[in-house]
Amino acid sequence: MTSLQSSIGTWLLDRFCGEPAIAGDLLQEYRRGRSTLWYWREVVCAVCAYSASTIWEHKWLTARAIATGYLFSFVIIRMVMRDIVHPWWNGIAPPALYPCLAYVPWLLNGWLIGRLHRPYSTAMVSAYAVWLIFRSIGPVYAAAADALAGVQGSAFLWEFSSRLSTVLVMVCGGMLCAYRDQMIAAKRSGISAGPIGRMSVA
Amino acid sequence: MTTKDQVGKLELMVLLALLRVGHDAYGVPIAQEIREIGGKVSIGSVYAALDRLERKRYVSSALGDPSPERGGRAKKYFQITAKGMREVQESQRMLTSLWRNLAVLKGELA
Repeated sequence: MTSLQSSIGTWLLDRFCGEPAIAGDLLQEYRRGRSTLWYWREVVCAVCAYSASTIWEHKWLTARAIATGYLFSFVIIRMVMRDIVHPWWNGIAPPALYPCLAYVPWLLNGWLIGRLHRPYSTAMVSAYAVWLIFRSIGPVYAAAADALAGVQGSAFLWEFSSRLSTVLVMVCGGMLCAYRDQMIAAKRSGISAGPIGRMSVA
Repeated sequence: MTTKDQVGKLELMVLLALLRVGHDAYGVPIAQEIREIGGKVSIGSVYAALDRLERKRYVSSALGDPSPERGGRAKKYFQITAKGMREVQESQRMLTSLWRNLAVLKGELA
């Protein structure tokens, strides 16, 4: 495992679990002979266990996070972006560039959910991501069925990739919010945080 | 004891493993202890359970020294509190009472 891989694993654990000892335990076990596969399985398990535990303990907050995300996507993405910004954009810039702009509100959506649900921002963003994935099953399944029937094969690829990238961009927004909060908390407690997951006592 | 204070199966297993490990109990030996008796548990889920137990004040924690082997991260040592010990004893009493003279488990109805 490269140092970049372990840095990414540590970064994910710090953002999602908020418990520095887990990253230390996993690195220690890896350096004592565990495989890379074991390390990543443990990272994924830790992220899922912490997120699930937080969601289970804060059900109403989870419902509020999902409602916030839905309201934001309905008002900003469906109404403002689709009905106002998109036609305006097509008049002033190449339409092919619009998808880049369309992801910005999703980044803001993740950020907003994280910001409004501190200190459980990453778990709440994960809950909304799961909800988005759940909502995507129907359209993606319909597109896949069309592709298998020989109708609009490219529509499935577009549907799948656009929905997946939407979820990823939204999660990135939430993680950026959590990262910012942890930077502020680290500064306050006299601990400086490195670029990716490296924390050292100042 | 309120419903929020009740411990789940994993939390009870973690409390018992904590007692078995004794001093120097942190995530890795606790997870190992559970795995040795056949439990399938990840280090992350052990920490998630310990986090819940700490908030219920059934365990307390203290940080050790950071080491280079751990990427500069300190170990987090856990210890069961008096409240946690009472909870373990209460759980044992309740479960033993429920198990006692249960014909189905003795194979009498098989």
